[in-house]
Amino acid sequence: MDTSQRHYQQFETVFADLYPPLCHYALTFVKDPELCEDIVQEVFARVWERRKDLLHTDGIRYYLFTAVRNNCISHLRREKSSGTVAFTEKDAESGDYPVVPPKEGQDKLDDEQLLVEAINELPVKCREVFVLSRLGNMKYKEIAETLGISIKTVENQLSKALRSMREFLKKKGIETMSREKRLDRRSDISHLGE
Amino acid sequence: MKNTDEHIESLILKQIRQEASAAEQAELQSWLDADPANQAEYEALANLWEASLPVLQPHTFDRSVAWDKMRARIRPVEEPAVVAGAPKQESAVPGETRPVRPFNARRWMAAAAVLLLLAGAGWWYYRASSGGVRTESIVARDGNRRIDLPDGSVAFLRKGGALTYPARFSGHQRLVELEGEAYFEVGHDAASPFVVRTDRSVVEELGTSFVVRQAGPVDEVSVITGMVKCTERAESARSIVLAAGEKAMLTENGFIKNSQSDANILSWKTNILEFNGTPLDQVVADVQDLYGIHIALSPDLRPRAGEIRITARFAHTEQAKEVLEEIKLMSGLAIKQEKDTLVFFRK
Repeated sequence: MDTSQRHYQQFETVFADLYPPLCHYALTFVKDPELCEDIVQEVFARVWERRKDLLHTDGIRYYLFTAVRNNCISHLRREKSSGTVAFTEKDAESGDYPVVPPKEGQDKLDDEQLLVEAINELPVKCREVFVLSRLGNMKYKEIAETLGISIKTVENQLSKALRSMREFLKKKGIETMSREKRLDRRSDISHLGE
Repeated sequence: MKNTDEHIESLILKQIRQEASAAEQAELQSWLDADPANQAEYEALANLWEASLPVLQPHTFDRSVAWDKMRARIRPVEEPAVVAGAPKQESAVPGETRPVRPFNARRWMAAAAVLLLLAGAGWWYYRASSGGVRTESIVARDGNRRIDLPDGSVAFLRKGGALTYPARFSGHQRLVELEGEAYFEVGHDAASPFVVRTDRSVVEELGTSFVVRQAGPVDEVSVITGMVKCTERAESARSIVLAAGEKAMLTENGFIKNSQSDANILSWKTNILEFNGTPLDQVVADVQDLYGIHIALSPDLRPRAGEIRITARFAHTEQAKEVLEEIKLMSGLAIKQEKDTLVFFRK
């Protein structure tokens, strides 16, 4: 197998692995799923153009997440300056994203709604670390590099995120997230670990 | 919140992120054992962590649609000369009156350009899938085909199927692409595993003979000897390993394993059907599959089809009729023709 074929296969694998998580990540910034897909497609097209430099590196994962994040934020800036406001003025000014959008469709689970609230209640930096670690499935080092912070900060912020969410839910009377309900839904959740 | 000082918190986090070392796990374990409340706290945090992933995925993104789009987009990048060099095709508008000349130079040019474009696209495709090595594409149009692969492995392609493979294998895997159904007898080489790819699945042998069937909405893999690994192409993290006698089907929820593969899975290749106390519904399914005809059971028969068992062996029986006649006699049932379907019913 020569290099061009190897590149193509690597690209296909990376795309299959990371396309959905990157779209989910984009969705925490940009509220329109179609737009999210456009942004992610654009980022992958750039990777293909620069495949010789980018594909074989271990850092492809954080390159992709960083690029998606930057493109989402510049999209939000552009939108704001052109007068179309897709997110609140407050968010724009404070840079208060990512924000977890509500679940689409029917039968929302109360616990889940509260969990969404719990995540959205987190301080911005904390939320950002949490969302990235969850969707990006990255090591501390990769999160640190993506966000330009220290590894220690990543660890602290993650601890803080988990503790705050737990306390928020406790206040709402939820001692622990119900496992059963989630197990019922497991069939449509693709990469939930054991 | 009690007990969870910073250090413990960081241990818990490492554990639920599956990054804890053995020493850290041991330390965490002794903390967990110290107090049932600690255990409860740990579980609450672990649950929270687990529950947070689905809420971050409120929308379903279709990666295969996205990939088609992406592929269309990167093709021209791969082969810009062809696309850029091809003049726009001039369409002959119906009803447009043109003087008919014996030789129309402009039309001739247009035809040449189209040919070039098609050839270019084809060439690109072949480069992408083979990396410059010539590929063979065998279609079993008129009957089953035996295909001797360049590495000495053998594929039997069922009528109607197609197999594409490089004229010589090189690199870290022996990749073939399958449409339809085929049986493979493969020599194992850990350095260069034999891999069968369909639209949806990647099947990797771990030393073996096996059947891959891509039919309708499902892919099916049956292992005769040895072991194979099956992976859904869209979800490469999910895969299962099948051993001899096992069978798996690719469903919306990934590969689902059936421990028992069908005894007649290879009947299309051997032309032998063997039933050993086999329930009638399975018999009907096997006959239907081998001869490519439609057979059904009448509605009143269906609930009890499992109770009617057939023991028989049909070797090289050319006509489905002969097989069905025999089954009819053994089961005491009758057969009628309804449109293109033969229906078993009780007289």
